[in-house]
Amino acid sequence: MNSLLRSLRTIFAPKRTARRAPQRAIDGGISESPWGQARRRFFSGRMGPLGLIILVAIFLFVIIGSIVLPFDFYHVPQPDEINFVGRGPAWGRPFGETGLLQLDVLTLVVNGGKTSLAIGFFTAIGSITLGTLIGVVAGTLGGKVDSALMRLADIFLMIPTIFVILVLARILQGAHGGGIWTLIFVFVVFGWMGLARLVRGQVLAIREMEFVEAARALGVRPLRIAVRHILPNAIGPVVVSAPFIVGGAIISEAFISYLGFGVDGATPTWGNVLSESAKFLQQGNWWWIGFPGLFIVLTSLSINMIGDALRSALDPRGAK
Amino acid sequence: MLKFIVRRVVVSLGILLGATVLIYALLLAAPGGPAQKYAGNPKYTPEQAAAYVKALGLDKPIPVQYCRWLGACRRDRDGIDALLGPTGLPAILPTGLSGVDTGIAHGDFGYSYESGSPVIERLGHALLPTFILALIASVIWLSLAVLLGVATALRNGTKFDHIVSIVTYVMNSFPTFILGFWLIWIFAVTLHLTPVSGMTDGRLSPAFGSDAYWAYVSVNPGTALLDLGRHLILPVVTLVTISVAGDSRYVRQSVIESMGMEHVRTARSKGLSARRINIRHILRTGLIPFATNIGLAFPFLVSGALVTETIFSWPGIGRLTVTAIGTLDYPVLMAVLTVGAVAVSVGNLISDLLYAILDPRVRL
Repeated sequence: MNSLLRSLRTIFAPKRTARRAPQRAIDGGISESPWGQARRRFFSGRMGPLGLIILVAIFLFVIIGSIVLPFDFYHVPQPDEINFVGRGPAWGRPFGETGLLQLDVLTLVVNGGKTSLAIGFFTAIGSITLGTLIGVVAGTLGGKVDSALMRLADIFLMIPTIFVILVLARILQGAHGGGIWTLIFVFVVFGWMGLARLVRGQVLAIREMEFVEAARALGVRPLRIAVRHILPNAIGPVVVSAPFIVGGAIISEAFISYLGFGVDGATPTWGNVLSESAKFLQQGNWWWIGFPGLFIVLTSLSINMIGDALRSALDPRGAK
Repeated sequence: MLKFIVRRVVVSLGILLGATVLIYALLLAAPGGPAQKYAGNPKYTPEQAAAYVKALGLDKPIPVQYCRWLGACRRDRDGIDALLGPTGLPAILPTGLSGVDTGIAHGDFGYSYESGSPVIERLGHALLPTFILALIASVIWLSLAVLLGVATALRNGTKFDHIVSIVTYVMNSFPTFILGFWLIWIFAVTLHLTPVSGMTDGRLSPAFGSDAYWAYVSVNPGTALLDLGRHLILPVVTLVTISVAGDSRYVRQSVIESMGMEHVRTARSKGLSARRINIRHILRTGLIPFATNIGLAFPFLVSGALVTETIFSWPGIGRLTVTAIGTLDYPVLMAVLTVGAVAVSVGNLISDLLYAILDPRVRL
């Protein structure tokens, strides 16, 4: 028990002593790049690689699974298969069936996972692009533009996120139909503020550093300074936040679509495949909510592990 | 200090005003709306529609409509006159001063499309259940987070710390609604220990909040309280589990950080007892970040835990919101979003004040 505990603990805590720098970097006279250092720290811990392995495994499972088991909304059970509550896990249907339409839960998990993961990644790309852009603009231009953008961020942060996301998702669903891009748009519109603040803070700090001053003295144009000198150095916190945005979007999507305000049923996601499941839970159908739920939890867990490992890899001071 | 508070309140009010503009814009872009109320009725003539729009003031420019909704403009006047109330003072001021009682600034959120009752009444009914759930959950959650966080930090590296860290790490990754459903499955459906959802047992008492319910409570206070308690178990456990998982890790981290601070080393070198160092030197600095977080729990008391309320059919603000979203009940949605924004702004204010009071490094 003790040894099991210790090994679990070492998995969940980043290792205190990072592996030594490669020999080449020490006596070859070539210093390691900051990104190289971060990569080495990430892979020398246990939590990051394990999270990555789980996430990649989920990815492969979902992608291969959705090719092998394509989603068929109009599946009709044979007369001898009819069971209103849905049949439980058995040989040939390892995750059981849903109630009502008796769809195969495994098929729903793999096809829904494809959409959910896509929503997570595209939300992260969108939020990061918008957040970084606003942060860099506010930080480099300063003055009135800066305070206007930051007040705008304050205003967006003032309305409780889950409420406003639900409302906007429902409004757009009513106007344009529920597609995945609608939902990604909603997540991005209410997902840029934290990042913009973070990037702005970084930019303000880096702007005063000597190498930027040197570039300015050399007569480099402001845009080039922003893109070539400030941005690459301000990107650390953005990289750390990326996994958490992916995870957050997957969870939010699941809840919104579960309520029926997100992606409509023709495109399965980890959320909308659960939409009727709560009623059937009370009739003993635990597998319908259990297996998709398990995949959401595993994805969220692995993403958090990757995010935490990235944080300690990129900011060695914070690594405890 | 006073100057700081006044400045902070003024800035918050400005941002809040911005938030109301955002909320208004959001719902303005929404489909449907009051003018389409009889859109499906074949007897509804265009003339009637036009009269309806005029009666509701929807023919006015949008800024005027917003101003009326906010309560900064009177509804019976046009132009610049509308900004002043019957008493000659600005209309935005409280009813007692300005004599104006329309608009959200005066607590007038309009009427719910769905039930026809005043929105403020529906909010009032939903507020108490949310408050009961959120208050109980946040008291347990905050004390448990401090206890677990401090205990694990002081026993850093022991078996106890390992177990708690692993459990909180996994729990921290759980989405609320999945945890809620799994708890329902285990404790309500399989073990029959708790009710599945709701706030009161319908076979036992009338619905919570109705006059009949309070009459029932005054006759059988014991049974009513016990029934409420049974219904509270699962939502509270869900909320507490999710929140404690994140917050106890936060407390642990900041206490461990304060352990390495120089004043702690000084205290150690002076030969103070470990107990004294732990309490006076480590915890006092280590708990400041968390104490300021308590202010951030305030919006939670009002806006509640939307997800938890929905899953457990708890008749609070969160479920009111989800129902109103389903039926596109705009007046209710605008009210809920505004109340939520006010709560966030008050919470931030409390948090800033606590920080200024508790942390001697912050000089005002």
